[in-house]
Amino acid sequence: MNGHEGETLLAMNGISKSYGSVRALDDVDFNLRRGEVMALLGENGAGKSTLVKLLSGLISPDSGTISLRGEQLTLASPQEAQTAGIAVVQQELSLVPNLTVAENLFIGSNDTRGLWTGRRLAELARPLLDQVGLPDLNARRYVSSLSVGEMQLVEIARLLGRNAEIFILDEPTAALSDVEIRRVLQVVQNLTALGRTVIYVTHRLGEVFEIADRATIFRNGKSLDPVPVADLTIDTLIERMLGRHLGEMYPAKASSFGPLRLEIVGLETPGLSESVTLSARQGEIVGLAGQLGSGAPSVLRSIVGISFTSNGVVRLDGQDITRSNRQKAISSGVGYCSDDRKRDGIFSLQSVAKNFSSAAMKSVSTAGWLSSRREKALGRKVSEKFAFDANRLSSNAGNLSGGNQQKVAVGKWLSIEPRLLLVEEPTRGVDVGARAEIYRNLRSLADEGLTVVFSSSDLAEVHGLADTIATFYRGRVVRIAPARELSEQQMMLDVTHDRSGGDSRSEAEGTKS
Amino acid sequence: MTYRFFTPAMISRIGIVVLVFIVFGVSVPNFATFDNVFAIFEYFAFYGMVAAGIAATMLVGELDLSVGSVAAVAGIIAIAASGLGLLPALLIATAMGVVYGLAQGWIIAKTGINSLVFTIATLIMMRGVAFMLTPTAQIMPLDRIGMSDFLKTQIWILSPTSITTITIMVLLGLFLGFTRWGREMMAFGGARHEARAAGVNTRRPIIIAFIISGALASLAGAIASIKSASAAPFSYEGLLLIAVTAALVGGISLYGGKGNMFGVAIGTLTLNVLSAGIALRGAAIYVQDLATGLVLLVVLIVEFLTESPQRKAWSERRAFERQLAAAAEAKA
Amino acid sequence: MTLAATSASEPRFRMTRSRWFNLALLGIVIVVLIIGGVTQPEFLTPDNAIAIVRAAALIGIAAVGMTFITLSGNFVSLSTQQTAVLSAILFAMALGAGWSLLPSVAVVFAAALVLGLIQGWFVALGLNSIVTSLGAGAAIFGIANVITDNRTVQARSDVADFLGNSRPLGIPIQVWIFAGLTAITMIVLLKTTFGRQVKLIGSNRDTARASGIRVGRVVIWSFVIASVFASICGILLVAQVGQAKVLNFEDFNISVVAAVLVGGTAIQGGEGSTLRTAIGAIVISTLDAYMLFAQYETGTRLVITGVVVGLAVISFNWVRTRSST
Repeated sequence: MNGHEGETLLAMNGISKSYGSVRALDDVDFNLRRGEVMALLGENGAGKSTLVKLLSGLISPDSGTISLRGEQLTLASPQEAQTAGIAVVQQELSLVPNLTVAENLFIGSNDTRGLWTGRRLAELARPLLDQVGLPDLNARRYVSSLSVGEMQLVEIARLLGRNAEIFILDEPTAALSDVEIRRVLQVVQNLTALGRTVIYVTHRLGEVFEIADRATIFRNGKSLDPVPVADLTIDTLIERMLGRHLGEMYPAKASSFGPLRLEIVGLETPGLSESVTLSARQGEIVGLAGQLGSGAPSVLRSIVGISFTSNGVVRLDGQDITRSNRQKAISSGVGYCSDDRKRDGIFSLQSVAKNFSSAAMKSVSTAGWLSSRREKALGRKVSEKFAFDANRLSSNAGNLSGGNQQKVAVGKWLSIEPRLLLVEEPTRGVDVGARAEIYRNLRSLADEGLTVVFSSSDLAEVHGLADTIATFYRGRVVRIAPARELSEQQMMLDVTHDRSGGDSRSEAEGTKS
Repeated sequence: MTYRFFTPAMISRIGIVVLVFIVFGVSVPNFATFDNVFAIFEYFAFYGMVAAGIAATMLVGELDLSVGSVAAVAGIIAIAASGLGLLPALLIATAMGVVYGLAQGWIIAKTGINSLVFTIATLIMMRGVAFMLTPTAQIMPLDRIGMSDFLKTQIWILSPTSITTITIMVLLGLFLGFTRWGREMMAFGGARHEARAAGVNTRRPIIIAFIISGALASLAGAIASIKSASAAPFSYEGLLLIAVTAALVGGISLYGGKGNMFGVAIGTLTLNVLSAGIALRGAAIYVQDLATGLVLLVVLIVEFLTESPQRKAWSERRAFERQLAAAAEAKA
Repeated sequence: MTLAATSASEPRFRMTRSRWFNLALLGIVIVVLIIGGVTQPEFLTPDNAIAIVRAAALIGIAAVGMTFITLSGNFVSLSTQQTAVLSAILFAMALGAGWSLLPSVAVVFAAALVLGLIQGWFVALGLNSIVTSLGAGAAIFGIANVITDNRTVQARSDVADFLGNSRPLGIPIQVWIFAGLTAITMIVLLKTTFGRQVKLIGSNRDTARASGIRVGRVVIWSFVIASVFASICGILLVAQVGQAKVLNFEDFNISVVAAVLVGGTAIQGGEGSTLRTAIGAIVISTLDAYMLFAQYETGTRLVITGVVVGLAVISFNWVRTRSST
């Protein structure tokens, strides 16, 4: 914002990092000038988070160099990054709930000496809390009693307490209300006024135009040269962010659908700021597009009872399934996959065959007695439908590639003969080839009559796979339209940019919790 | 909630021990006498010290099951070394406990093994060590009886032993509450993942906790042996149950990161008062164990009912945040 | 030994990691036997082998039952000993009152069922299983004390004699029961939906819930099984010695847990089997028998046992962390 032409503080050259077959960063160059605010932009999985992790010392690059103030260095651990003067607020909060705010500000840092009395810590905490705009927050409160927004600000305050040169904020405003977002932006500006340098990762384009000096855009693991923000408009920025997607990736959409299958009317649940109404027919694939904090996944979660449905009705083929629990959902033919298959999508230590039968053991057993013959048959059937190599049915699910693991996580629901399949982030952590296969299989299942509703932060994916698209932004539906009537540009605008200019929702909380 | 020392839970704990005391005081003759209260504090001196040690491990989210065996070994060492004098004998026994705790803590921290499982092995091993040191009970020679008497001197309702325990509890409480390492231990126990992410050393909290538990179990065993002028390899089998119960009744959470030494003291006192009351009524020893077991179950239920909703709310919120935060893995 | 026959119930034989573990454990038993036989020639006799397995039987039966708790991710139960004691006392009382065999056994099983149900229910609600069983164990022990008032209860009856002292085909009945229960539980774990659910819950509780598995119910049943198996030990002891007292089954809790640990069933759950637990019990029993035979002292025996358990636990942990994704 202030046109700093500082010298190069940090330079990264030829950085590559792969996770198995997935190329997270591909020969990336990055530079940072002293005193500037550099925005990192790009879709989920484009490489921004990986770069941040590299700089925080959590992971090491496969190749490439990093130099700070002209000297090459390696960041082999978070301690080394701290010593090098890099402070990071990760996306996942690291506050300890059973300690007070003040204690959380100083825990884990090497600088705090002397006695940790409540009063002394609170005094030390005060200036930091003031800086992030929490002058009235009692530093002796337990962190567990704070709101999500307050926690995010405390996390940033902790950063300020560590004497760092470079501050990296990874999606700091995802959970914040407008008022709190203003505070964060003010903090960033204060930092640069003091001569510090900030790397700001976000998908909220409005913020980029407000505080960033330059922007580096990531796309499919590659980075574009940094551009002065002054030279950009929203449209040119979006243009740069959307990469071409591979031509053969997405199968042809359906031309006709069956009767109405899923009806959601006036749904209210944590994560949504307004009620949601949408529907899906037999054979239709509906994509819910939204970035962090958009509320899109909450819709899926409330259908299967993970998120509490406070209001509204959900009907499946006319049958009321509002407020179902897991078992009821499954017996109604609803399968659900979360966005974290390692946490609750697969049994890493069990064979794929056992994973496939886990949701429908009744169908492979008689009166409690498992039939390995039927289990094998089920395994083969699911493998076929999901392009899974049947020879690997006896491997442990945890040893498979990301793509195959996802096939297991999603494919196992075929065993319940589902009517509705709900999936969050269907191809997270999946390589290109497997992605195309998963899309193909979902399409053919839909063509056989299955209804698929998925949520994703990958706009290209939603645009390519879904027949009907619902865009979400900060807890409400922006628009619902058939995919052919909606451009990716329009989708990007919907999910990143409060089209009403931030007025009507400015004082309310961004998301209900 | 803001930090407060006297939370409603703590106040009700104090209330309970006072209540139990009063109940027994009016229903059992000779209960509310100086001599009886002194006896209660003598029990407190022993069990309280062990409870404080095991509480340290619980606070970091672990559990040291071997305290009984360690106390037995320490007792034997103390009697054997009693010729050097009271203080040297106690110091030597405690030093053994420190070294033992250091080794245990280091192995558990380094291998990442579940302490529950590992301390079962050390429990067996140390019991064996106790038997190896002496197959039968060891009696202290008569010329050193002065030491035992000293430890038993009555100062109002306290004695050198209970004063030691109280002092140690105070020091430990100050350590956990007001020093960086102590707060790191509490952070580590409360939210291990977040503490690591914030930069807390991953080994130190565990090692310190086990050193404390080893040292205190040893000191307690050593003092008890010299006081009774004998030590046997098969003693303190039931110590674990009482120590864990005392800690739990005193508000130390099994899940880690919650509780303080004052609570442990109150918890131990509650159990001691209960036991003394039952004993004075003439009931057999097993009734005390039964009462202890029942108290444990009740406390568990209460802790679960009150803490779990909080914990569930917290984990729901974290899950919600994870919702907001994208996964770390990249997409191609 | 008869146990080897139970391992191959799968149609196709593959060397999985768990089969390596089983082999390794059996190997250890054989090694100890060889060392024992070489240094103490009298050790390696069929009579001695039978005596070893018989000594392992009671611990093994209880450990096999407890394995269900471990496999489902609830660590261990510390009330096994007390359940066995109470069961023994109830059984002796029933026999002493003139009841015939079946009603007596039924009463004991009913009591064990209730005890398991209560503990399982607490744990299913979310209470920590170690501490729940610790408290329950103390309560159960208290009840046993109240009932017997420190007397020894006499069974005064022969009806259970065959359960205690018979030797079908020359092999003690306890060995048969141990082997039989191991085989049955292996079949349950491998071939029934319940057994599968136990392992899945231990593997990943969240995924199990997401797959519609009724986690609470399975947890309760695992505690019931552990409790009933422990009660079988009580019954067998009374059948053998004709009386029961609260001092029976000393150190039982520790031995049972050690058997599960040495057998290599993962304490976190999801991996392991009752066969391994059974072998674990035999390993410990073989070791102990050898040490007794060679006249090692109590202290030395305990230390060596502790070291063996510690090494086993560390090794299994090391293997697991190295090969986990």
